[in-house]
Amino acid sequence: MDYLSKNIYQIHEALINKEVTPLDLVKEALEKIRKDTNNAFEYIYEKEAIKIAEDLSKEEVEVDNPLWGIPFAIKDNFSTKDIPTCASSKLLEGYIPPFDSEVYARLLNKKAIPIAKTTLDELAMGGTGSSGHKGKTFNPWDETKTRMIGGSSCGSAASCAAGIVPYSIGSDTGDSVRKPASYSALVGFKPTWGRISRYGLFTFSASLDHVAYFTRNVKDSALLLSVLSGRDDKDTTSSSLEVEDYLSKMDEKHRPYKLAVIKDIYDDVSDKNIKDTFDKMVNQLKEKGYKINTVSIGFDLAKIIYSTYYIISSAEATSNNANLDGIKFGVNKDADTYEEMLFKVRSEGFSDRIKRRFVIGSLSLLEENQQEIYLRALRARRLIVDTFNKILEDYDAIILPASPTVAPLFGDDIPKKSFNKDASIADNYLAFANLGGYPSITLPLGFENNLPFGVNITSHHFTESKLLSIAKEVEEVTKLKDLVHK
Amino acid sequence: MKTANEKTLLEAAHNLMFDINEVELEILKEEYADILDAIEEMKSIPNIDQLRPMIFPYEIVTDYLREDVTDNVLDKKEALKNASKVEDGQIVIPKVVK
Repeated sequence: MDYLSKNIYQIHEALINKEVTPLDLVKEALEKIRKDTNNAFEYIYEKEAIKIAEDLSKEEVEVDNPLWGIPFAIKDNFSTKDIPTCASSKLLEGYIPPFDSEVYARLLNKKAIPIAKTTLDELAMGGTGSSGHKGKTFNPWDETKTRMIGGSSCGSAASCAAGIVPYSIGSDTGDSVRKPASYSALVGFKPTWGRISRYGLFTFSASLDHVAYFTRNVKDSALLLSVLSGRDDKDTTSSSLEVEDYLSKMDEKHRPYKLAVIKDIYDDVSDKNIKDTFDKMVNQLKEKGYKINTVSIGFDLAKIIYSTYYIISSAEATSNNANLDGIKFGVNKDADTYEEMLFKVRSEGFSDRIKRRFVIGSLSLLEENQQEIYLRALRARRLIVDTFNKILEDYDAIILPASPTVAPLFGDDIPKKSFNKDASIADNYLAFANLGGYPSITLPLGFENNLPFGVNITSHHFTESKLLSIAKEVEEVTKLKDLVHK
Repeated sequence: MKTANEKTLLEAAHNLMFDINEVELEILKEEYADILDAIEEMKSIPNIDQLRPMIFPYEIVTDYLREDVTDNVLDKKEALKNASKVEDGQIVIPKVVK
């Protein structure tokens, strides 16, 4: 029986009814991992998961705890005590964290079972799922193994989309969960910046990093939010605002909801099928009473979302990763001098993409460049965020196609440059929700040649209940949920 | 402002303590030139330079002060277990003064 292709509540029901035990679920996951061909895993909890499952199988199922006894996967940039964690970077191979990230600790506390650490673009910097030390992670929906699932949370997306786990944890600094979700028919959710503690998440860009995750439907997303959100004194940027009962609040309707479609982003989508499917969904929502208007932010502003994100994230990344020297942890190299050692470690440990990002970040911070590059990007950030804040004060949410295409091909479609001034607006706009720290969710919208594409909805800070409520109604309209590629 | 010449880029890489090969340098040159073009796009937006730089996504008020008690401490053994060379409880690196 294939239980792990079901959603969290269905598996929980099966556990309560004693159709299946945690040990059965772990064995099913391990069997699927053994057969997996998507290159989604960094570390497999073979012995550890079986031990946890055996212990749980002696206990009664916790009927009020839907995560009890169910396997999950977590991106390899979250600290997991005594479990190798390298963020898919050659430099960090062999590193074993001495503590747990808060998110992971909360899931363990719920007696969820970790089954695997998953691949990512090196140090979570990238959007193709191909730059980690293990190479490309493939999209389960593409049997020819020629298409990406997107990044940087590629392994977490692939493991959920392939039916190996019903949910998986990722991180989202520019669109690293919400874009892969679009390419793999999953729900990808990034709550408000500060809603979930980032303690133990490897820092890429502190002002943009968010904990995010994949599920197969909106209800499961609400459940995880209830478990993961809330103040953590170990992360001083985590919010003290009350954690709502997202599951019940999600069902409260406050119609008519008012949604905005951003013209300058929508117009940049050239795929007719994606646009037509989006338009059809918009019309169906209007029939339900939604008021949906087109709003323009101006082409010039839409165009600088990506460059603003890229400059700020690179500058922060340069600084945050200065501790990767192979001395305290990571791969060390023999050398005659301290400087030579550092040089060897970092030259051989970082991939070319990472080096380019660091150089650009470093140049933007130089005294002679700071006003022109870094500070101008921070001023642009204010303009972008002020503009979207205003829209989100007038509307309940912004709704747009999550990606302008289905999953791109590898090969020639992987640009040599990480930043391209002519990059598509619609392919890179999701970073506005990181610049503004807004809650933002992607869910399935349709299919093109059997490849999925998604819709994204973003609302104002700490309005997760409303956002999930809208997302649930969109899910009812599209009738696309609990999708797994078999 | 520093332009995208090879010397500038190599110098920046070396300051970051890594080397960069010739092929990469060419791609980096293009990428940095693209960044400078993007800066021109930002500059063309009226009054952008009158805005205050925005560091965090929204205004954060932090009034949290923890009690002045030791908490959540990594013990020495744990802290050192990932270092490749340890002697007498200290991490060993090549001699600085010889």
